[in-house]
Amino acid sequence: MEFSFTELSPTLHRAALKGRADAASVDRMEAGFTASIAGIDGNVAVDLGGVTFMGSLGIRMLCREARVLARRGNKMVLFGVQPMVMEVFDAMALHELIPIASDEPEALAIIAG
Amino acid sequence: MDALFTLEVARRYDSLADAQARLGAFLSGAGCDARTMFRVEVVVEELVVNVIQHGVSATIDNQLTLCARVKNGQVQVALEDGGPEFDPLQFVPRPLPRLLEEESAGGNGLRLVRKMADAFSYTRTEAGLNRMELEIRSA
Repeated sequence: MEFSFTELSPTLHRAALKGRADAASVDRMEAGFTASIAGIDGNVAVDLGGVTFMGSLGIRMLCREARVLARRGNKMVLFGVQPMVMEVFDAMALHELIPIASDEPEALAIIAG
Repeated sequence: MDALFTLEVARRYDSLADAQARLGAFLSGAGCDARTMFRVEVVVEELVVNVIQHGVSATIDNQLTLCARVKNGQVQVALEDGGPEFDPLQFVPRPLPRLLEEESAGGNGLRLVRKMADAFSYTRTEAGLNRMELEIRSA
């Protein structure tokens, strides 16, 4: 899995994840993803449109980084989740922990609100 | 059609990824729909990750055996490992957290397995292996 960050404003970044968020991928990339989040002073909208698979380890990674942002008074919002990945998110009631928007404009509106 | 798949999986994440690719190719070739394949993938991922993370013993070998059968649109998966005896059916997941601060690792994998599998059973075999059998039915 790959990830990239784009600064949309001084207080807002978009993170884009692409590929399979399986155990092997998460194990390889989470240190880098964590370091990137640690270096951000602002909110993060996470584009999951390119993620074709995510299991509990990927969800744990997102929750951990959302918690880091929340402790600084910032938000993480997910968007663009593929339908079958959303089935996993629904099974975990992830929306109770991290807001999930249908698209980027909705994600940005949630962050602004 | 009654199609069979068997694979030895080393207790490493990269071996799991390879096994998932091979299992996916098998299920696709057997005519499984995408949603069934995804649910099988989730179940296998979570069970094998559990064994990799918790099924540690210096005296066991490092292999798991993954079997899958496709019959009448149903996928039957069996996973055997030689780790410490563990019946996942006896594991009661914590309530789902309502706050980010309450979220922690542990139990989420089995929670997903229970949600994604239509049937789930466990036995400790005479050979001393944990054997989990699951059924995922096509929509």
